[in-house]
Amino acid sequence: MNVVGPIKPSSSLIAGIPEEESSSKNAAFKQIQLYDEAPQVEMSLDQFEVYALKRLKVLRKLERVMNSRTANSIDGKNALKKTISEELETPELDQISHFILRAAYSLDEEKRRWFLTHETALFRFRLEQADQKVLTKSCKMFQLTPLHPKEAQEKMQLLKMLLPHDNNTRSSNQTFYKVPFTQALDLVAKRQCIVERGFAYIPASKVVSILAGKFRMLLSASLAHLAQNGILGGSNSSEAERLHPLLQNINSCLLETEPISEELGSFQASMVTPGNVPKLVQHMPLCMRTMQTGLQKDKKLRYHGRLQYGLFLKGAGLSLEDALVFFQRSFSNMTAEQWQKEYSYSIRHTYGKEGQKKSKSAYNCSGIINSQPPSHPGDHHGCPYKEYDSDKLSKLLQSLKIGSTPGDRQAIVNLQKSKHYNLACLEHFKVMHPNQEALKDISVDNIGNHPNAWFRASLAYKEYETGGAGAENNEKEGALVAGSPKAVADVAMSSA
Amino acid sequence: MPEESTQEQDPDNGTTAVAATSPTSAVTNVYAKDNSNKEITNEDFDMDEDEPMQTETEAAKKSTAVVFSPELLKMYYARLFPFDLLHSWLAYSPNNNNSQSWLFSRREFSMTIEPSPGEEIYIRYQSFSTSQELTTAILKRRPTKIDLGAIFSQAPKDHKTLQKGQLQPVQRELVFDIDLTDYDDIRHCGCTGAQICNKCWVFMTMAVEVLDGGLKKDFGFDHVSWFYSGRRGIHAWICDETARTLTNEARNAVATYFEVKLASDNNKDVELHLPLHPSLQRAFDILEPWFISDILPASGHGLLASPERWKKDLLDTIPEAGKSIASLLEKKWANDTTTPAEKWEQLKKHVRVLIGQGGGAKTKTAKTMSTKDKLRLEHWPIEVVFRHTYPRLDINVSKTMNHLLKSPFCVHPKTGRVCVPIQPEEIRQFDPFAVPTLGRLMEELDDYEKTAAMEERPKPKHEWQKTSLKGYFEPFQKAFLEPLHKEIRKHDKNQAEQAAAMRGDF
Ligand SMILES: [Zn+2]
Repeated sequence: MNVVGPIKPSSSLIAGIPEEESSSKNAAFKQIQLYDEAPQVEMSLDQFEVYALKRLKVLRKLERVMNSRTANSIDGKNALKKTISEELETPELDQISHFILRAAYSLDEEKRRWFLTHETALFRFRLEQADQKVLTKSCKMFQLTPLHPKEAQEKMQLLKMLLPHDNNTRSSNQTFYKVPFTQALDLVAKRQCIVERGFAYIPASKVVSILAGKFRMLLSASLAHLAQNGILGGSNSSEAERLHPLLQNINSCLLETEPISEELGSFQASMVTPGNVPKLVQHMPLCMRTMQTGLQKDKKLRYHGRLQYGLFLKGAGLSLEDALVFFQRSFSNMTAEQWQKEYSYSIRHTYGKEGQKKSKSAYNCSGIINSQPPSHPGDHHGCPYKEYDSDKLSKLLQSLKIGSTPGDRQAIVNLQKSKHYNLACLEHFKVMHPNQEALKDISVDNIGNHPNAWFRASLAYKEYETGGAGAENNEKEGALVAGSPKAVADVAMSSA
Repeated sequence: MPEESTQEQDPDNGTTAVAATSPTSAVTNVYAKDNSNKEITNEDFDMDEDEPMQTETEAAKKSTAVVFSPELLKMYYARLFPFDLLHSWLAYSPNNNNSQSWLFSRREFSMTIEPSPGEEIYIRYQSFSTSQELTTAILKRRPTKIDLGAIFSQAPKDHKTLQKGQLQPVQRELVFDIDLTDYDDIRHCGCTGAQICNKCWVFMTMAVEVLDGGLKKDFGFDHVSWFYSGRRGIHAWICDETARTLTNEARNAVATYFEVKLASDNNKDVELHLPLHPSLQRAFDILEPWFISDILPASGHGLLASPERWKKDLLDTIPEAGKSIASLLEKKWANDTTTPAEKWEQLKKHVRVLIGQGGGAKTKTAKTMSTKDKLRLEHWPIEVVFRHTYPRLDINVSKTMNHLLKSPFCVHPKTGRVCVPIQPEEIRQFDPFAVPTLGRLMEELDDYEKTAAMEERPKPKHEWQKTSLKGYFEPFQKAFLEPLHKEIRKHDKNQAEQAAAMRGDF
């Protein structure tokens, strides 16, 4: 079946080496594809799904390696290489699986962006690992021809500085490429090419960057095309009907079924994954909820916000790896390099992997209330009950549809007006979780004193309500209630 | 309520604060930001803090002069504001006025208005199909500030009726914003914050010389227009079609290309590489003479004018491997009469000798020093020059199409000065204090009328030609607008010919 819509046709697509060699272990690095022509194959639906999951495994591995400390280490690269070789063992599988995911991920914007970023990274990684022959072929694929020797000669004085010092002697036989500067943006930004009248001159050693950029542009265009014209591009509609649910299913399972972090076995930890944090906002107290909203709006969180929210998510069971994935995805306006350079440090720091190497624990309410007040439009940290005036608070509660009656909201606002921030927060919890039976069974300890307590209790409440696999956990929570000192929460609860 | 002028001396810096002389001109004290605001996020803006600007020229020292008031602003818009220039630029169409240009009609204008003193409202997503519509709106609203945003896929004024995602920025000039507040740690003229003086204005001169050259030579942009921000900075608008259609990613790359990060206490990794990238070499060749003439001596920022300064800000910053130079020169300079420029040459020479590039036999230290230390030392004089002179960009302004930037030809309410075009070739002669204030412009108009009545001169086409604005606007027309239009005409002609040739094929 044909899984993809129309794509810009082009001549030779697969830069590879002769058939016999591609069967070797590292075939995945001997044949680098542009994926600009959709495969025409018959395959079973099972196989279809298997292929999709294989490629997904590669891309997710790539995402994790890119975000980890070992991104540039030999070990990290080898591990990645191994996964790629194992999963994308033949060029056909490579091609077909790419197109399946491309179709599945074209269904929504955020996933398109994720796919684009990671497919480009995969392309780049394979080029970096490839040998000179493959690289030269890849240049040809993109109609990238070396700078004319005459022009190279004229500019040699200038171009020489692009070469590593020890290479200077051989500089006369070096190959250079000339492209519009917009095709070499990361080299331009780092001043690793010569820029003259709008053209970038690039040494062969840096050409991978250009190819990756071109690849990204092609893929981005075809994803945009798919998004606009639909996956099947108007072909046979019965096939479309058959495929659509399958693609939908892949599309949704791809981001949701995140591998569970090993060290955290509790039911809650397993729920908190990069993919579902946005959905968990209804279980968060107002401070964290506004943080998530702010993060989605700004595609960024400033320092205090990163710290407050990052520690909260950590406390909720998000592993460092997942936190990196989550925040990078959320900071969607920046390039991978920029993220890596400017922000990933601070997330690692939150987990005690940088700086003083002390693992911090999540702020409690008094820590948040007494933290440095927000001073910038991009600041979303702090306690909203303290930072907002009652008007703004009321509007916020209303827009979040908190409470079933205006009276519910008024109760919260009244407590805030009298500066009982903790009680206002607790009232929010009560309004959202009215089932008294359920409340008897879960720990309401510390709600109004710690945002993680609020979150934990809210999830436990949901478990109780849905009657899910909560029995065992509820027991555990119950034991906690009995043994722990009564906090503001309990007092207020019983007086309600 | 008494209506006399209340002339105020600012006790802190002894300069004249913008004075209120009529009941309507209560601007200085009511210009506070109203935070209750609206759909806008402040991050989209180039924010001006509310600090007084130090003023030094004769005109401003006439303490009774009113430089800005709502009345004056109203007159400025009615008589002097160059609507035709703004329109014929933003339309990117040489056949002015009657032709409708989508580039103009889909441009976002945002206005800051003060319906009553103290109340400030931003109105975003305004757009106008014609120059006439824009004129009418500005005359009616009399904004204290106008910002220009991107050109969108639809007219921004329809944003409420459009579906989400339909209003996409499709073009925007590449813009740069350079502001003297970012130079506070190296300004030693006494200015801080929003204050400026002729001594620190040289930083802007240097920035224009470095960037203008780089934008044209490296990126091939031909239509670069510079403006004085009206207060303490400059803006560049790069208007080539290739620049207007750059993606955000490309804008980011260009801005980063021009950004130099130097080693600091927190970051010992120097980003400079030797040999210096050609763009940095060119910048260095421009900047070092400025460094010597305007940064080193007491008449400038005094880096080599006193033992305290040269110890703390220069010798102490020599990398560890070169500490011997520091102690040697500190002693030597304690009582000698060399000029700052000579001291700089001595210092560079000592560094060269220490790393074995001084000619003659290599010193013992040069032989034993690690390559890394040598490189570090070799960088150091370049770093010093860059630290004290290299343009400091607010690159967030440049990074995205969507960022609003103050429109040229507006008036800065704090200074009353017009945001006038600057010709990069004449940046060295540009004096921010000579830029007319609204108050002065009205006087100029009056003076003109008086003499014109006597002399019977031919009536100029525009009222601004009767004032000193002529000296700013006419070069803008000639050196920027005309070449821009010429190129657009050429482009249109080529396209028409191509289209004709294609038809001929069939
Ligand atoms: Zn100054």
